[in-house]
Amino acid sequence: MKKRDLGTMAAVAGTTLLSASAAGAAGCTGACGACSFTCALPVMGVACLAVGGQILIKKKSSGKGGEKK
Amino acid sequence: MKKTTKLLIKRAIGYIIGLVLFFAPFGLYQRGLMALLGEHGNPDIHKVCYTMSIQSLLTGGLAKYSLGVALVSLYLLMIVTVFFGPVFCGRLCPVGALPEYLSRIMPEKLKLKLKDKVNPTPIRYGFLIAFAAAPLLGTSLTCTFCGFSFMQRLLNIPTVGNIGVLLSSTIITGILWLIIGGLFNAGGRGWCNYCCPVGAFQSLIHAVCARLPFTFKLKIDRDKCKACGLCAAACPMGSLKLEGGELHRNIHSCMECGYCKGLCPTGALSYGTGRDGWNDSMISIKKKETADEKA
Repeated sequence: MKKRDLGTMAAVAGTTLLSASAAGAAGCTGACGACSFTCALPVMGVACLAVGGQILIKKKSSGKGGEKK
Repeated sequence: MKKTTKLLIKRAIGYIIGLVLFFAPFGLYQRGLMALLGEHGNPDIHKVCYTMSIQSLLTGGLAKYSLGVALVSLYLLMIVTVFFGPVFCGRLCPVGALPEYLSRIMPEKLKLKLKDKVNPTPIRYGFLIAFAAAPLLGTSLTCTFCGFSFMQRLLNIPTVGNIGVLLSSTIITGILWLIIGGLFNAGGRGWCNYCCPVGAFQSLIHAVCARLPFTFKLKIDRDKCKACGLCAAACPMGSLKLEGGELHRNIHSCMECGYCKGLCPTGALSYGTGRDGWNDSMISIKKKETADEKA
């Protein structure tokens, strides 16, 4: 495994743990569901942007400009 | 009928068997094991709950478990993985199969090619570390993000009549599992590749045990491989890649589903015991090249 991969692994583990413990410390048990929309909407937004971005990049690279070398 | 369609149907049969074995209202596996162990309760996926028992194993909390369905299932999963690799993921798990098959109805141009851009190995193992370490910080990730539980909720709609309590984390799980990792992801196995601790746990065992000669694993015959790339393009997990005219495999994400083996036109890929041929052949090719260079 490369150093970069180890860094990514540590970053993923760290951020997941931090967010889980922060939510736990704030009293969130994931049980009330009151924040469903505030949580779900940004995730859906990011997904739409990612899909849209992917299509735009593909169109650009196959269009007039071509791929950058 | 096309070869790919035949293979997909063959694999789908395995996943349907997995659904009937592990999920309520059927839960045949739980029913059988409960009868054997004299246990009572609902035969739904929570009775097995691999995530909870894997977390307990990794944090040393197994002592609180009695020898029930969950613990016996964990040991069975580990034994099967040691000898046959992550075949539960590749041949039985309907939770991974549902988004994969759903993604096949989506046009390719709308899909993200996450598997080509983001290496899943550090992410899935990083998540596994966080998943195991979370109880030490007074929290847990077992039920918060559970694709198995979501699948059970979906099955509850026709049988029980409702989807159960939809929590914020459940909705996010659904979006990650079925939409981002499934419908809009090439291969449809984004959840399996990046987020599933059960898959990561099996990959970890398989990566170690595949080195032993008596265990089953995906093998390659370098002499037969024409590097056509058919397997690499079809692999739902993105474990196979063509680089420099040679086929490479990422053992940390391969789920031994056998799809590549069935597609290979030259029969270069197989599933069996002995040396897998991936590294050894590469070494022998390199040695041959060096010998040629010297000559």
